[in-house]
Formats: sequence, C-alpha cells, structure tokens
Amino acid sequence: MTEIAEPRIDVPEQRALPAAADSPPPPPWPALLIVLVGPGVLALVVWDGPSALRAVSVLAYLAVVPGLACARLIRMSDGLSRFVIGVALSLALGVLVAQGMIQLHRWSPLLGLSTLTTIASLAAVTELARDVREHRRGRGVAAE
Amino acid sequence: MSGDATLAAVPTAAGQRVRDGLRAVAEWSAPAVALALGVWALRRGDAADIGSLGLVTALRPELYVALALLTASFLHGVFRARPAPDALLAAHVAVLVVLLFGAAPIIEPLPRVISGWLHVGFADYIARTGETLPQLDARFSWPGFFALTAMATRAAGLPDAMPLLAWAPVGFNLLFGAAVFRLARDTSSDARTAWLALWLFFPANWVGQDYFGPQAMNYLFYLVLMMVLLRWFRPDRYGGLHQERPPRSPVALLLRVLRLPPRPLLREPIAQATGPASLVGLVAVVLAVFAASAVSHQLTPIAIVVSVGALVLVRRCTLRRLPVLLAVLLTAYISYGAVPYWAGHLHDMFGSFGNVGGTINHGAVERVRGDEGHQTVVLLRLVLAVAVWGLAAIGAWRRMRRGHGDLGLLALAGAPFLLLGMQSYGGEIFLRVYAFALPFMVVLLAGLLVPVWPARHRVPAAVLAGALSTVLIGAFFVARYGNESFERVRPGDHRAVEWLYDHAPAGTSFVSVTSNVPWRTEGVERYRYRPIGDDLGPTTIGAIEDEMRGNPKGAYLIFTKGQFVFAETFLGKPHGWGEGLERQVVDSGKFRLVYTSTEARIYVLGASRGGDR
Repeated sequence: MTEIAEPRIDVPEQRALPAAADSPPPPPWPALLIVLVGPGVLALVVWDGPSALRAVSVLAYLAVVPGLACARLIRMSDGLSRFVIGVALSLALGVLVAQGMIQLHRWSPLLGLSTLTTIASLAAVTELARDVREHRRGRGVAAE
Repeated sequence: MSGDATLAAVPTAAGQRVRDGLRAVAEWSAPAVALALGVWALRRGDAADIGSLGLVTALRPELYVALALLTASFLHGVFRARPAPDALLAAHVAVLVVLLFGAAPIIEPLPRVISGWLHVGFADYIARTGETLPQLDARFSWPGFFALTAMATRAAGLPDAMPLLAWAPVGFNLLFGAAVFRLARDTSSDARTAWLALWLFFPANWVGQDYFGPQAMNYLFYLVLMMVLLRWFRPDRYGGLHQERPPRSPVALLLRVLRLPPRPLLREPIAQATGPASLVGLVAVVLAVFAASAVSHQLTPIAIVVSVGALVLVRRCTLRRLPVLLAVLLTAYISYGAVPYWAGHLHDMFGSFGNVGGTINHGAVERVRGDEGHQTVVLLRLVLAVAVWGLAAIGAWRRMRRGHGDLGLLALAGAPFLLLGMQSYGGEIFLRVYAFALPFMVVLLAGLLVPVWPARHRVPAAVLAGALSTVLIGAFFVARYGNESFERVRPGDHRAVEWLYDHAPAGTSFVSVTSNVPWRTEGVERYRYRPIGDDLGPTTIGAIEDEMRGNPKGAYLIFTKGQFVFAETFLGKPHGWGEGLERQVVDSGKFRLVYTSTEARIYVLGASRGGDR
C-alpha cells in the first residue's frame, strides 16, 4: 500500500536541473541533414519519384521536419520534448500554410511543400550560424 | 588489490556480465513475445464474430495472455528496486498501443468509423478545387486539418487519404503518449509515477477521438501546449500558499477537515530554467500551435483557453495575459473565418450556455439507449469515467498528504469540466471533457498507486497497479469498441457505395434510411446526400418517394447491412426493422432494383420488373 511520507522541506527536484544553456552544444549534423533533406524531398515530388518512396518521404518530412527544425532553435534539455513539440509545430505550420494558400487563392501542394521546406532550411541554417558564432565566442574566451 | 583478489575478480566480473546479458535478453523478450502473440491472436480474429458488445466477441483468448504478460513485465520493470531502462519501458508502452489501438485495423478489412471516411472526402474536395464548402458542412468552417491533409497527400502522390485511415489511431496515440509522459514527468516527483500514468492513460483513453480527423490532431496540440506551459512557464518560486496560515483561517479549517497537512503544496514543481530567447521561442510555439488549432477545430481551442485561464487563475502560469490573447485570436477567427457557420447556428453555439443539467442529460443520460448490448456499453463507459475521476481524486488527496500537491495539475484536471456549462457539442461534450481531463487524471491516479521510494511495501503496490491495469485493459475493449457492430465499415456496404460512384450521374440524390453509410469519401459536392446531420433518413414509402422525386436529375435508394445494424443497435429500432422497410419498398412496386449483393441493394424510382431480386 502507498506510504504517506511526512512532509519535509526539500529542494524541489526541478530546481536542481541544469539550465539548458549550460548543456554541451548540440552536434551540427541534424541541422545539416535538415538542410540537405528538404531539396531531396522536393526533387522526389518534382520528378515524380517512386511512389512508395515519395509517399513515405513527403509525409514523414511534413509531419516532423519543419517544426523540429524550428524547435531546435530553442534550448531544451531532453530530446523527447523537442521531438513532440517539433511534430506538433510541424502539423501547425502545415495547417497554417495550407489554409493560407486557400485564403489567398494560391492553392498548390508543391508551393505549400516548398514553403515548408524553406522554413525548415532557414531554421536549420540559423541554428548552424548560431552554433558557429557561439563556438567562435567560446574559443575567444578560452584564448583570453 | 592483491594479485589473488584480481584473479578471483575476473571470472566474477565475467559471470556478472553474462548474467546481466541474460537478464537483458529476458527483459526485452517479454514485449517482443507479447507483440508477436498479440498480433497473431488478432490476425486469427474474425470480423464476422463482432456482436452487439462490439469487437470483444471477436477477440481470441491468446490476446489476453499477451496483454497479461506485457502488463506483468512492465509493472515488474517499474516497481523493482532499480527501475528498468527507459527504452525497455517505452517498448512495453509501444506494444500496448499497437495491441489496443491496432486491434480493429488488424481484424477488420476496412478502416472503421465513417466520420474518418468523410474527412477523406473533405480533403479530396480541397485537393481538387483549392476551396472550402462551408455551406455544405459546418466542419468546413474549420478546414485546417482537411487543408493540411489535401496538401500532404497530393504532394506525396497519393490519390486520397484513405491509406492513412486505418492506422491513424496508433500513430496519434504514440504521439499523445510522448506528450503525456512529459506532462507526467514534469508534474511527478519520480519517474515511476510518470511511467505508470502513461501506462494507465492508454486503456483509460477509450473515448475514440483518435481516428483520422481534426479532433485527434487538436488533442495533440492541447497536450503540447499544456506541456510547454507547465514546464517552462510556471513560477520559479511560490509565495503565499507556502506560508503558515492562521489556524482559524477557512483554508486551514478545510485542510484539517480533509486531513491534509498545513502545507500540501510544499514540494510543488517550479519552472525549468531556460534563457529569455528560448522563452520567446516557446511563446511563438504556443501562438503558432494555438492559431492552427483555432482554424482547424471547433471545441479544442475553447478548451485550451479555459485550461490556460485556469492555470493563470491559480497563479501557475506566468504568462498572465495569454488567455486574453488566445481568446482574442479565437474570436477574431470565428468572426472572420466561421461566419457561414455561426450566421445560422447561434442557438447551436450558445443555446446550452449555462445549462449544465441539460448538457449532462444530453451527453450522458440520453445516450443510454439502443439495444441491450449498446446500453451495457454506455453504462460501462459512465462507470469507468466516474471510477477514474474518483480514484484520481483520492490520488490527489494522497499526493497532498505527502506535500506533493500540484495546483497546476489540479487546475488542468478540473478545468475541462467548465465546458459542461458552455456547450453540449451535439451530446458529445461528456466524452470530450473526459478526454481533456484524462492526461492529468492519470497522473493523480498513478500518485495513488506508486509508493514513496525507497518503499517497504512495493509488492502490494505493484499488485494493486496490476489489478487496476487488468480492469482497465479488459474494460477498454468493450468501452472503446462496443459500437463496432455499426462503427466498422462492411466490405459489402463499401462495394455498393463504389457502384454508386461508378454509375450515378453527377447531381443525382443518394438516399438512405439511416446515416450509417460509408459515402462522401469522394465527390462530396457532386451528389445530394440524404440524410445529413440526422441519424434517420426517410423511413416511410411516401417520404422516400418524395425525397427521390424531389431531384429531377434522379435518385438512388441504398439499403445496407450497416444501416440496419445501426438502427437496431444504436437507435433502438426493433429487430428486423430495416429488412421490413425494404420489403415494403419492394412490395410497393414503385422502385426498381439496380444493384444487389449479399449485404446491400440499390433501387431507383420506376416500376419493378419480375426477377429483379
């Protein structure tokens, strides 16, 4: 049966968590991959790639990548939060882009995909630039 | 270390590695065996055995063996002195999701729930035209999900979204699980509570709002927004609630009556530290996700505003103006984007405001109807809901006894009940309130079962958790799939509808006697469908004839097995009602049979000829 503990003053667990800003810098390869995979998916659509490969690639890309690329700009200490926020944000961006095309009478699935690819690539490039800048700053501080 | 001791330690260390390896193989084999056995059992199930209690009568006993093995292995991993690795526990949860939510797609030949089929039709219309049809259906006033589906499927080279239908519940539930685990982890003092909360979430989530549609995507939005707010936008320190109160103050008296300590919120979690730039990014995430919710679902954004408002009210969200901003965004969209809906349906939107009794009556009491099996299913759902809420309340009390109370968690568990006073949502609000409160209820429920560690009595706690899991998993198959006799789509019904699309000229009417027909997956605007929005269509010869003659381009009357089962099971019509009505149609001599199969017939107006049937 459940034990009842006497309340005692204690430091809450999450206070002890390290600030995300103190965590080691993330590896650059996910951002590079995001930059590279976008044109690949677009190429599959434009040149009508093999149907199964095209379907899986496009759906997986739209469900995960644009939001994940943006979520990676936010410092988070755990990958699960980043992933689930990334998926929700991907779907949200997809909804907003698709509905935007309807409102502007510019309906084109390729245009929508291109827009989301651009958003993802810009976010990934921003992340890479930020990491390079911080890396240089860190080397400067170390040299001093 | 001396030389002798080193020599002795080498075989001991090797033996330990072998033992650890064998233990890891045994631990990982449990979910693998459960998955293989469960899928094998489901593949042996026959959809023809589905009865008035739903899918449960088509399940093989081996499935329960697989689930029992999985439950025992999971609880052993959670309750042992040193918890199992996260990856192993996550594998157990993933197998549970496949066996619970993949049961129908494995047993049944076609995706279930005709609402999902209809959503495919809405997305198909947008994909073809790039426009919406708000005059046709209220859901087109919130077209975000359909627009996304249209864009994604066309870009992916798919003709429509049908391939996504069957396994959508499994995919959505895996995503829900990721968010629920993070929510539970951020509101619990240890990982065991979070894992148990996640485990209980799935069998308690029998509501069935995870089929392919905007409500499932918006449920993910809701969970993620609450996760972000609870994790990063709590206060980083608490004021008055942690101070000593005068012994005669009302709060102190209430705490004494409830046998709670003077400071039940002593160890409430605080916000996770992060930089200002990241906080700005998280606010942007909140606004983007809420904007997508506002344009894609009627109810969820209201639930989000209410829940965020409750968090602000109890001072557990530092973004004090956020509920106002969200409400303004929502009002702006409804005023601009949903005009065709509210212009003619103000009563539907606000007619039940404040009428809590009427809403409960509409959403719970009036649902106890239909045949005996259906009534049993509805009563079981009510009992399960009340049991989960009751146990969660006791769990909240126990957490507060330990000083682990969490006002943010309590606010989010209670806020969805405010929706009962706002809208009946077509009688579904009770289900939605249960779904919106569930992620927080299961955390409180797990708090009732998981002892404070190091625990002296962990075996009884594990047994209790096992008993509750067994009850919930057993009840899940009746509560979730209890309507399967009419929620499944029969191949015969589907073939008849395909025949209609192949042969009926554009502009003709499709008439049925109940709404349970898997149509409108294509050409939603090309044909006139009857009934729309009502369970029953025309049910007398005169009414059917009038409906069909009302369209000069022609009309088709379709009788399917799914309609008849729906009428008897859900609407409470007498046994043989549908067959009797069809016999009247044939005997009237005013209709001509143009299509027949074992489960469906299609008629047009005109004198019948001998030998039609």
